[in-house]
Amino acid sequence: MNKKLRKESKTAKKIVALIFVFISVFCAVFFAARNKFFTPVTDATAMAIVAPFQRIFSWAGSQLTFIKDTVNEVSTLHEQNKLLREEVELLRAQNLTASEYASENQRLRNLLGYKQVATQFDLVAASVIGRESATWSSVIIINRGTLDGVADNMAVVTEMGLVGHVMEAGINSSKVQLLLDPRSSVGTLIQRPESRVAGIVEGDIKNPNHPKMVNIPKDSDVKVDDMVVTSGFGGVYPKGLVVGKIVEIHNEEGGLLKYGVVDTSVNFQKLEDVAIIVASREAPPEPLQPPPQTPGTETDPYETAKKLQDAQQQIQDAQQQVQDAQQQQLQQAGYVPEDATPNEDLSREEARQW
Amino acid sequence: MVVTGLWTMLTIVLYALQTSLLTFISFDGFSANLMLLLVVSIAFVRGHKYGIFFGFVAGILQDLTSGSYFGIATFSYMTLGLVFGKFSVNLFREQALLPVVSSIPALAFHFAITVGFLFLLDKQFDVVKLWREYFWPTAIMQVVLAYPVHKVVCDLNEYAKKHR
Repeated sequence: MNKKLRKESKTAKKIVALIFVFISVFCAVFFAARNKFFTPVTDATAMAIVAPFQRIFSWAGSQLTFIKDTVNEVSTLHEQNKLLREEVELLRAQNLTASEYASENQRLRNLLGYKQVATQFDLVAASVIGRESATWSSVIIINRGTLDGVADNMAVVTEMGLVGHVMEAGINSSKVQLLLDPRSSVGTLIQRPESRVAGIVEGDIKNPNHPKMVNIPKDSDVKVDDMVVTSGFGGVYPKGLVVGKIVEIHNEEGGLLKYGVVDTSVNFQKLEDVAIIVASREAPPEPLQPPPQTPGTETDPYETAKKLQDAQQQIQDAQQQVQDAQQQQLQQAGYVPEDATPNEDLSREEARQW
Repeated sequence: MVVTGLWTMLTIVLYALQTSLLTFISFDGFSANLMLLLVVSIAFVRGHKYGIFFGFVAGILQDLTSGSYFGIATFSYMTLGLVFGKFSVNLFREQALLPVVSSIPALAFHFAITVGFLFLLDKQFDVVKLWREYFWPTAIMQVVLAYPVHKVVCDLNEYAKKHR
C-alpha cells in the first residue's frame, strides 16, 4: 500500500515536472522572441558538437551535387547534341530546298524577262522532266502538251537562245528534239550585216556538244565569233532566234564548201526550264524616241508640246474676243440687225486676218 | 554508457544530415525533418517518456543551432513525443508501416504547433501557401525517409535491450 502510494507520488512528481518543463519551454519561446532569453554558451557548445558532422555531410552533399550536376550536364549535352544534329539536318534540307527555289526563281525570272522582251512570241513556259540518254540522240521531255497549246514542230527556246523544236506533242508532255540531235537541221544566217550568209545548223554525232553550220560556200564571208541566228526559212523556227557563235571553220572534203563549228548559246547540260513558242507574229515597231539634242540646248519635248498647245488656246481666245467686239461695233453702227446670227465662216475668216 | 553514446550519436548524426546533406535535395528551402522522424519513431518504440525526452533533446539541439525562435522546436517535438508515445501503447510497435503512415500527421502536427506559435508571436505569413506549396513536398520526403530512420531506431533499441 505504502509502495503504491510512493509510486503514485513519484508519478505525480514526474507529471508536475513534465508540466513545468512544457510551461518553461512555452514561456522560453516568448522570452526568446522578445530577446530576453539568451543561451550563448549552450549555442556555441551545441554548434561545436554538430559542426564536424555537418562539415562531413556537407562535403558529401557537395560531392553528390557535383556528380549529379555532371551527370545532368552530360545527359543534357547528349540530348542537346542530338537535338542540334537534328536541327542541322533539318536546316541543311531547308537550305537545299531554298537554294533550289532560288535557282528556279532566277531561271524563271530570266525566262520572264525574255518573254517580256520577245513580245512577238506567245510563249508557254515548261520544265524539263526527262532526258533521253542515248548517245546518238538529244531529246528532252517537257511537262507541257497539247492541253497547254503545244503542237508538233513548235520552236523551243530559253532566254539564251534556241533549244530545238517539239518533236512529238503528247497530252501533257512533249518530246523536244535539241539542236544537238544529229537528225535536227535548222535554217540559219550569220547575223553580221556585212555577211548574212545562210547555212544549216545540224547536230554532229562525232561532236555531240557542238553542232555544225554546213552548206557554207567556201568564199563566203564567215568568221570565227560570228553570231548565228535562225533564218526563218522552212517555217519551223521564227527568224532571229540566237543559235550560237562560230568557234571553228573547216573546209568540206569536196573543196567547194566549208562548215563552221557552232558553240551553242544555250547550255544544254544545264537545261531545266524552257519556253515553247506557240505563236509568233511580226515584231511591233519600236516606240518613237525623241531625236538627240545638242548639249546645252536640251528641251523637254513633252513640255514644249504643252506650251505650244497653251499658246494656241490663248490665240484662239483672243480671236474670239476680237470677233465679239467687231460684231458689237457693227450692231451699234446699224449694219447688222441685233438679232442676226453672225456668219461663222465669215467670222473665222476675219479672225484669221487679225 | 555505450548505449547512451549511441543514442546521442544517432541524434547528432541525424541532425547533421538534416542540416547539411538533405539541404541539397531541399524543396525551396524545405527539406525532410529527420528530428521529427526520430522523435516519432522513439516514441512509438519506447513510449511517451522516451518520446518526450528525445523530443526535448532533439528540440534543444535544433533550437540552439538553427537560429530560429528558441523553444518552438523543443515544445513541438516534446508534444509529438508525448502524443505518439501515448499512441504506441495501443499499437504494435514493430510494424514497419507505422512510422511511414504517422510521418504525415506528425509533420502536420509540427506545422500546426509552429504556425500556432508564430501566430501568438504576431508573425504574419500565408498559411494557405505554406500548406499548399511546402507541406506536401516536405511530407513526401518524410514518407520516403521515415522507414530508414525507424529501422535504425529499432535496431539501436534492440542493441540497447541486449546490452542493458
